[in-house]
Amino acid sequence: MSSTIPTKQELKSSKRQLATVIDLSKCMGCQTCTVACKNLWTQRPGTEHMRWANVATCPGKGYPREWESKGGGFDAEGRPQPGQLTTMVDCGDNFQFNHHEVLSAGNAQRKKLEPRSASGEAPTWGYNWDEDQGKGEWPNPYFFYMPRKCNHCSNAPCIDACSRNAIYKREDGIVVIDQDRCEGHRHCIEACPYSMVYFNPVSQKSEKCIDCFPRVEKGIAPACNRQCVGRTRAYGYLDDSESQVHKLVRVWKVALPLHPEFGTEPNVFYVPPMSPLAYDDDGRLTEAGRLPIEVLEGYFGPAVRQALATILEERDRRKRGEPSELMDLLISRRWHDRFAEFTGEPI
Amino acid sequence: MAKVKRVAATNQKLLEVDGAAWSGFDRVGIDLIPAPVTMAASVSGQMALSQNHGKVRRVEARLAHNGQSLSVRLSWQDAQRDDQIGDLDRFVDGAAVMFPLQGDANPFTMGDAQHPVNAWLWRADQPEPFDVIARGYSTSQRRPASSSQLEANALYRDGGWHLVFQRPLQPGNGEFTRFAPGEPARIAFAIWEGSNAERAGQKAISGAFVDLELEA
Repeated sequence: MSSTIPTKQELKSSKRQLATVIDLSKCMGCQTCTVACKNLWTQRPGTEHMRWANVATCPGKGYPREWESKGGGFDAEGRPQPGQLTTMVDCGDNFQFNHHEVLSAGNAQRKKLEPRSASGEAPTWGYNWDEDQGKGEWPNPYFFYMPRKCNHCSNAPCIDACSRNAIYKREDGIVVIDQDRCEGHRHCIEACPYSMVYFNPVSQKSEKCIDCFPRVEKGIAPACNRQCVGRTRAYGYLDDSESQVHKLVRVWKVALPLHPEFGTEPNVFYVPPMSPLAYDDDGRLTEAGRLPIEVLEGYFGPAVRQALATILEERDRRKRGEPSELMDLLISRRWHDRFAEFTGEPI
Repeated sequence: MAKVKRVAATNQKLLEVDGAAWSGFDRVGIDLIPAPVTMAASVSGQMALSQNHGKVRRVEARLAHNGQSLSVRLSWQDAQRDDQIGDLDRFVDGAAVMFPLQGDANPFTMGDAQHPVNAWLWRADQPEPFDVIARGYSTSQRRPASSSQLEANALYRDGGWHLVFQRPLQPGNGEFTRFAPGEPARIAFAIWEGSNAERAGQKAISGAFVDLELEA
């Protein structure tokens, strides 16, 4: 019997690895990915607060609120680090509105539509509460959008954390939580340094992004990737040398994991955002960028410098009228090119 | 060694936490210790980091059988009643008693492949207890109370929980510990303090099994 209990290494291993690349220079924070995901997966009881796909403004408190300071992940020696749970409000709350009161006869001119937090109080935080605030002083404020979902990590800390052995990697690299084995102890939520596991208080089990595996099995890209109107996203197997994800991550090395120092080896990669140019004191555009490189290093580590240098170099090459494979990849004139073999139609 | 007193009371009377059937009973005081979670690092590295669990340090047990069923009445102090998951970071109070399925077993690991254990699990937010079978870390299975006709009845009063578990001495087919008048048995205890985020292996336990003898 004991030989049938899988080791964590077995639960973490996969034959291949699916990956997503997101070009942050093109993300406009429209939340289409968020809504595409919510419509598909989180309209069941107990999932109201969940946004498996989400977009927050950087710098900012993020989603769930202050996830970057909640711990989890591994230290440099690979030891698991203590983490914190998220609350309903951290996860964007589940606002209730007084529709009935406002829409009752005669009230429309007297009553305002007012949200109520799940706590029963007037909300003091919610999803995207600090949207577009960013940082920096006029005339050079800066921010960019950070679309996120489960990173389907190669060294997934949620798998290590689950005392039920309920979490495992599929052969395609997608990390899933077996809802039959999960007992809602929430060690996975503490362990995930990205706070991308959520607790369902109705089923009393933990849930997370499943990378739309029922679609993926039919050759259809995940909804967040496919529905992106900005063509910011690529999807495919990392070892598929023809795929955009392979070319951007492995060949051009311009797509980087978020917070690589967390030690989980994420499989969502970001093309770092190009900076808008700064104004000088006289209101004239300068050659300097507004987005401090140190801020980007804080998100993507030191490799962000070389990644941005490569993008700028290739952009200049293109400006000179020379061909650039990288620019062609990032432009993606045909959306099919972004999704390798996952170009099937969802309907 | 603790005696499981033979009484004439009906199952129904013994299920009453405050019932007269329980008056005049010897109480067995059991000291509890924080479960040694570092032993479970290979199944949950995160759980193994826990340092402050095991808040409840003593439980009082009264044990009775009436020839048909075994009843275990537990009382422990708990200043905060946690009987619902009010937010995503909240946990509920719980209690369990555990028996080797047959012969011996390691209570710290909840048995192993060759030595299973059977436990009765009560959670303050659930209408019914669970009948649990386990063969070591990560293997526990919660079965519905009806599978063994397990029952539980709990009452929170004066800063403490009072709980009765009751199950037939000889339940129907299945992997359930069986008891008989005049025979020995072994029991272990666990308490989860919800307000201290205790769940899974983060709990207070009695450690070694306590030897019992059911009065003939």
